[in-house]
Amino acid sequence: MSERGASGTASASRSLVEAFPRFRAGDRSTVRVLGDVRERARAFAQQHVQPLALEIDRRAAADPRYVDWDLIRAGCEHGLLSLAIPTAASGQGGLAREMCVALEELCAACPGVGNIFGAHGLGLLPLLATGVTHWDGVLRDIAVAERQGRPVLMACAVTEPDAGTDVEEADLMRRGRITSQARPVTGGWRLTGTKRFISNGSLAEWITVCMPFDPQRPAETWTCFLVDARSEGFSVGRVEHKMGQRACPAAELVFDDVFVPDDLVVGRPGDGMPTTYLVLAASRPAVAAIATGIARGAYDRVLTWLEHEPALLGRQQVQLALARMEEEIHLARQSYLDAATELDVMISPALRHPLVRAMGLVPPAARRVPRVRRWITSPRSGQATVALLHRTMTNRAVTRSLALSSLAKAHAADVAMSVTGLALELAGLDSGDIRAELEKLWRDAKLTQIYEGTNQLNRLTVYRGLSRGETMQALPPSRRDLVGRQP
Amino acid sequence: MSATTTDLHDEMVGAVRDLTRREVTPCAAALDASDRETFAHCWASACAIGLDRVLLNDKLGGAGLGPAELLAMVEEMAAGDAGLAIAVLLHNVALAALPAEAVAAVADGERWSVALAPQAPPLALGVMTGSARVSGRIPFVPGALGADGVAILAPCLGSAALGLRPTAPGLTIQPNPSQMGWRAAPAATLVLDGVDNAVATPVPHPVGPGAETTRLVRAGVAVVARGIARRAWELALDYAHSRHQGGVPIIEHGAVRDLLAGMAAHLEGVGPVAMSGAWLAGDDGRALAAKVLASDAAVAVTSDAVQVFGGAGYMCETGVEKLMRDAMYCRLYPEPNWLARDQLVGCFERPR
Repeated sequence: MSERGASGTASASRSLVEAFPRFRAGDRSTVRVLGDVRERARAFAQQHVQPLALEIDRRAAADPRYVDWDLIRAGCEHGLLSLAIPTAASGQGGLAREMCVALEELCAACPGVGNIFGAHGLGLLPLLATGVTHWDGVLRDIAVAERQGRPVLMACAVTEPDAGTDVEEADLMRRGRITSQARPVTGGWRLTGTKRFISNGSLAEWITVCMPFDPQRPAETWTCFLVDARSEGFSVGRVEHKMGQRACPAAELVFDDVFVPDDLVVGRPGDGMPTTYLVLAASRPAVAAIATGIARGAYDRVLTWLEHEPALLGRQQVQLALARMEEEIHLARQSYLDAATELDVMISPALRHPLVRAMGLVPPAARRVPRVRRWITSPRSGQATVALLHRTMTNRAVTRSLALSSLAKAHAADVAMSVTGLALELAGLDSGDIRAELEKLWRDAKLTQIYEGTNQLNRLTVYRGLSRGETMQALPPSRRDLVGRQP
Repeated sequence: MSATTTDLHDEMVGAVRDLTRREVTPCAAALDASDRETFAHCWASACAIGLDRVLLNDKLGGAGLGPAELLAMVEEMAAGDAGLAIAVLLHNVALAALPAEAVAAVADGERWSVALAPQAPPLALGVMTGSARVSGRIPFVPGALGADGVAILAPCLGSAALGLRPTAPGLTIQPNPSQMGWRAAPAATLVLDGVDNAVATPVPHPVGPGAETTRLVRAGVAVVARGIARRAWELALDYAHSRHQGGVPIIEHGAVRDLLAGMAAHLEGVGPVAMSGAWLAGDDGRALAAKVLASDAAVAVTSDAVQVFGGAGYMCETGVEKLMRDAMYCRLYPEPNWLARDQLVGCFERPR
């Protein structure tokens, strides 16, 4: 057998530019920033996560409420909870690419643990997509608490018992069975309803939750709220026994007339659907990265195992299978990076806009002065945010970004299933401890074909956004289109 | 088949179907949790209808049926629980492989399993005065944990199986640390350290270790895979009619119809192969082909069934994800499908 290449065979040992050849021609600062994020995530994954992955899976199978808080605290030390929080809110200012690169590393070790941080990022996304309103509240608190070693987790609650796919697409939602409802009251809103399969739902201190304020027009009145998990009327229902990704509990959340003050509405009332599209454009590349990480984890494990089985490694069937795995992982990785880059490039003008930068330069203490705070949370500020979105991006750009994200998600999820299945088949039942690890990754992989919309729904989004070149109403309506929408 | 045999066949398959619906399917979650009490109850029920002695003649207390009948019954059982079906399959195969005097010593209600020794490294046979001693390791023997005995088949043992009780001197049964599929039949690794083999004829078998036994195991795995896929299809079809999204039952969505159509096509495709081609032709190639085709189809069908259920399918309570885990084991036992495909080619001669 010829000698191994200098980079080693396992993909875990490769540098950033080996994983993403396009960066050989890219700017150095991007490579440096992404490389740093990757190394931090990898160090955490390999030192803390991988040794515990099987044990956590076993314990969570016995008790789905089990969660390893020590591990999450260790994640704090590596800055994984503030990665996507703007620097102006004391975070690290990472965008989709940073999140994706980190998630691939985490999920190569344990997709369940990776999903704790991924679901946290999902919970943050509506706050990031709707302007500066929450910089000095929850976002800053999370970043500050993380530096103190105290994890403050978020979750995003959208799915309902009778509405899974329906809540991710406006046309389906109009005909669907949405049973939750937000009711306007003096000084705020009252939320009633049940959300289901919410990752981190039983762990989160803050939850972004979407409900309509008019059940007859759910898509037009879908609204995002920020809910404190200590609120009266909020409770965690059943925590699910899952096939995989067990380290991250999925819970039923019950909202029984929960009061949410006006300043914790995320975006404008009724902007929930466009917010959802922006969130999905960001969260689907993340799922693609999770899936890529799962596939890579299986590939690395089986390759390492095969190094000790030269008789097997010498057979062409095995070599072809490994080559196919390598090929699929590489393409999945490029597809998530394409989608994340498209999104980052699309939102960059908004982030660089003078008003946003100026807001970032205002000291946080000044932003908390009541008068300033009132303006930040006022409807005028919301209108300004929407106007800024319209100035810096288009419905077509968001539609295209969402479609590319959906493409990456569906493709990578299929890759995760096929690669983990192949790895399991290569190793067989007589492969000792590695079999349990591969079985776990195969179980974990299946969820990536389901969450953030089933692969089928994602591919229909690809058809509409890319094949047909449709343009969705993906940005919140401008002021002149708002007539008659307010509750 | 004669009319009498056909009647008996139909009667027994019908009895297994009833038993499965009545007792096994409702207990699938407990069987998946390796609940020994539930397993013992289901096993006793299976024995009560003669499912433990299908292949034995009436002198040995059996039904005197053939492999085709056994396979049909195992498929019915697999639609309820694949682990239990594998236990039934391997028990019957074990009794068929053991010498008559060893079978006569198997008490009613006992459960045996079959250990197919690997080709590499092979079991070692040391011939001594009056007997032979067997050493080696046989990994992943489904149902070996908690079994009353194991029938071991290896080239060095000739055509006869070596029957061992768990207490046999020199035999160590090591539980497998984890097992995601067929959990009602917990597997173990057998370690043989100079086990006395007074029964077997120490003449290497020209074809291999009980070629017929291996063929029957593969054909059995094929029908287990088909049973699993059938159950997944039934659950998915029912759910597709009852679950609404976009204001209509999801079966009206083209995306779901496409999944269901693929599942139906897979099932139709493996039907004739798994049911009749595998054993009745008595052909190694067909048994291998049936095992590969049916297990690949079962993995695809069960995965699509979970997809039809969406998030609910990923949760244990619906029982669909269990089918997916069970189906994957059909791809891996008695050998991974890539190895089975390799062996399959060796079953055919060059055309003249």
